[in-house]
Amino acid sequence: MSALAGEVHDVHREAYWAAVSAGDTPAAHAVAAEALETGTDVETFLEQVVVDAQRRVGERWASNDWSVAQEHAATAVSEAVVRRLADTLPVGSGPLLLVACAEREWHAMPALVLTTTLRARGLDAVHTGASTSRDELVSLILDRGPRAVLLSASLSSSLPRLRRQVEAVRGTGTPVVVGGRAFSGGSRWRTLGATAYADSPAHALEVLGDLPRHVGPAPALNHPGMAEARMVQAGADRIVGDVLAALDLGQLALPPDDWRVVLATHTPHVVDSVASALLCDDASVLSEARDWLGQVVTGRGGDPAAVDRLWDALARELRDFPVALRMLDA
Amino acid sequence: MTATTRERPARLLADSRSAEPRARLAQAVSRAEFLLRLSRSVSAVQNPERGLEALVELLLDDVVDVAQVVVRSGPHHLVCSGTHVDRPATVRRPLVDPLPRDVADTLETGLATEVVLPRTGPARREALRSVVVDDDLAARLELSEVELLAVLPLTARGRTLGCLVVGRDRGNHFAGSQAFLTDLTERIGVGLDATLLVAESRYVADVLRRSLAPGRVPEVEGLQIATHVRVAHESQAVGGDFYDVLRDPTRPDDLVLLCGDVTGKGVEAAVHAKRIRNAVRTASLVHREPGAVLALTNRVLVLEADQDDEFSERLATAVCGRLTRDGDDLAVTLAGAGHPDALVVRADGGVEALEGQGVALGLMDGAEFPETSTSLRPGDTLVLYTDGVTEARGVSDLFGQERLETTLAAVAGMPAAAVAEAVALAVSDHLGERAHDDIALVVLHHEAGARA
Repeated sequence: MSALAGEVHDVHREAYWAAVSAGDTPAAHAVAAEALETGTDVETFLEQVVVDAQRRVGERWASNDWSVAQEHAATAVSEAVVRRLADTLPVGSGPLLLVACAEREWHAMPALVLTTTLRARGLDAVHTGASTSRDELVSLILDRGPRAVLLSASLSSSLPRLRRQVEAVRGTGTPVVVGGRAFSGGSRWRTLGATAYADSPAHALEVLGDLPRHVGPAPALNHPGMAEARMVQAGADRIVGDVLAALDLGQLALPPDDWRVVLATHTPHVVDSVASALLCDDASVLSEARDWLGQVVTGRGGDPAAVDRLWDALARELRDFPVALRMLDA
Repeated sequence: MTATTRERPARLLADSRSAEPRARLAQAVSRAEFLLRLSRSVSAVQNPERGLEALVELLLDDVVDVAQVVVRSGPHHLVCSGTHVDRPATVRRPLVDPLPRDVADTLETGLATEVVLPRTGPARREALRSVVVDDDLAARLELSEVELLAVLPLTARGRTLGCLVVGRDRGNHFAGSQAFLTDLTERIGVGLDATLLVAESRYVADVLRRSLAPGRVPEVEGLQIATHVRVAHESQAVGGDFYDVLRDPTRPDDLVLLCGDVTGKGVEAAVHAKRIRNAVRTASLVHREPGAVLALTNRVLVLEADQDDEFSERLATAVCGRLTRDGDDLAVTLAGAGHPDALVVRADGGVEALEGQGVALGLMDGAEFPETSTSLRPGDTLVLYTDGVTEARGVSDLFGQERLETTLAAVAGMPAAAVAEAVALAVSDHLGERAHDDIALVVLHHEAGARA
């Protein structure tokens, strides 16, 4: 059995998915080893098998077929596989690239896949681990002098923290490339002061060639929502508490799965998304958060009207924040 | 290299001594602006290699056509050079490799010189070789029309820390720009001095830090080990929480586990934590039973506290365990020294605490550390952690034992990495942006199905 380097056998894709969904790390390693032996290259395997499996994991979770724990287990299997693949690749040549995740994002997978893809292309890429703080980033830059830092953010609620990372990296003169689901559409990356944006590992490779060698500090953000962004960020805990206390779900029917808990769990993400929308000057951050929460609630048998009630409670809480109010309305 | 005069260098370096006052003023403003930009760029990029590249690139963009900087950094000379048509790169050369004569002289005497390059022939080659470090660059300059290279000392705090070589294309010299070049080298000297000083102390700190950081955990067939550490002082990157997984070299199935916490944070706590890890490593070569390992470690620490004031105030808690194979199961024996109880997460979701009764380490000579035992069946997970986990401060309460056990129950039977990630995530969400103590977590998962 042989495949072209750019092809993947469906049988591998399905066998891998079976191993991941069973939380079976040795079986997943075995599929990876067999696929590579039959001629699939690392990059193709990552792109068409591992990333595909992660997409399915996300779908299972969103539609409530899987618990958070099952999601964690499946992701851990893929992480182990990607780490082993990365270990088999020779140390790359050329200038160093640091790949990091947004602060407080603990899913390292997207950054790990990117690091491994870069290494498969012969570059010297190093993954700094999940949730890399500004201090850690600056220390690594001072000690190792990377050519660029690549930052991945999956959640739009991470963007205020990502902005601080961008400021820290640019403060050292180092270019910063951002990517990940948090940047879907628009020009959020530009507003946040990133040097470039890449929507896939392949795109990142292209972008790297055109980066300036050194950059100045990130320009200050002065658009009308900035003051509100800072206040929402600083008061996030209190806002979450007040919104949940004021949330009136009234007569909405309660299905077996208690989706009030679901709402409570995700309200911090929504409040952080308000700060993100203000910071990026982009109301679509909030409409995305609203759609997403709607799917989560519906997936758990809840009434989507609950999301409207949450938005009402937020609007009352943020009544003194005119820009935020306009964005919540949009 | 083209022979056409580039606009920006021409403006900054033109000889304006006999020009109109207005033109001289305009040049003075451009020069001041450039020097400001230079200072910013040199002080922003604090990695020496990258800093030199940023500097040389800026010089080549705006002032000169050829540039080379040589500085000393630790056991190396860093050399960065290029022309305005290529990208400069930094190379490290051992100090023992000789530098070209004129560069070496300037580094030694702190005096500037000018090297006039003959038009052609072996004399031109030789003049270039007395200044230019990079052979490839020297060969290219041989074919260029550059007529003069200025060799300028870079000084700060009364010593010469490096040397800058600059040159311009044919017909363009530095007449009328001496004061500007002096300003330029002064600013470069001060900026690079700071960068090199930072790099030197970071290098020392980094060596120490690496010696203090937890070592790699061994790979054991059928057992997954995952760890998670978050230090309180992130800029110091080390803390007082520690762990170790030690394998008996002659019996790969016999592991000694350690997880502990020293009072205090940051580098001082890390130094003490390292001493305890070393004591446990040594003790584990003498005894394999955790109670005996802790008792011997305790004696060492009490002795140290008596003899050395620096350690008299430091308390430490720890849990020490031994893992051996027992048929399909893994036998676990644990002893605690004032430390949070280790938890066993059964494959079915039950969470059990393994009580440790001993007092903290270093308090009392002759203290004893009673042992408890259990079995890890396939699919079970053992979790050792420090109080930074349970005492993580949230909006209104601490993370607590109950949240930890709920989090663990939900990931029962999962791979070790998933368990560690779930706890890390839950604690991080609870903490938000608040300050926290050192946090450490060691997860050992007995794989189900695999040959154990």
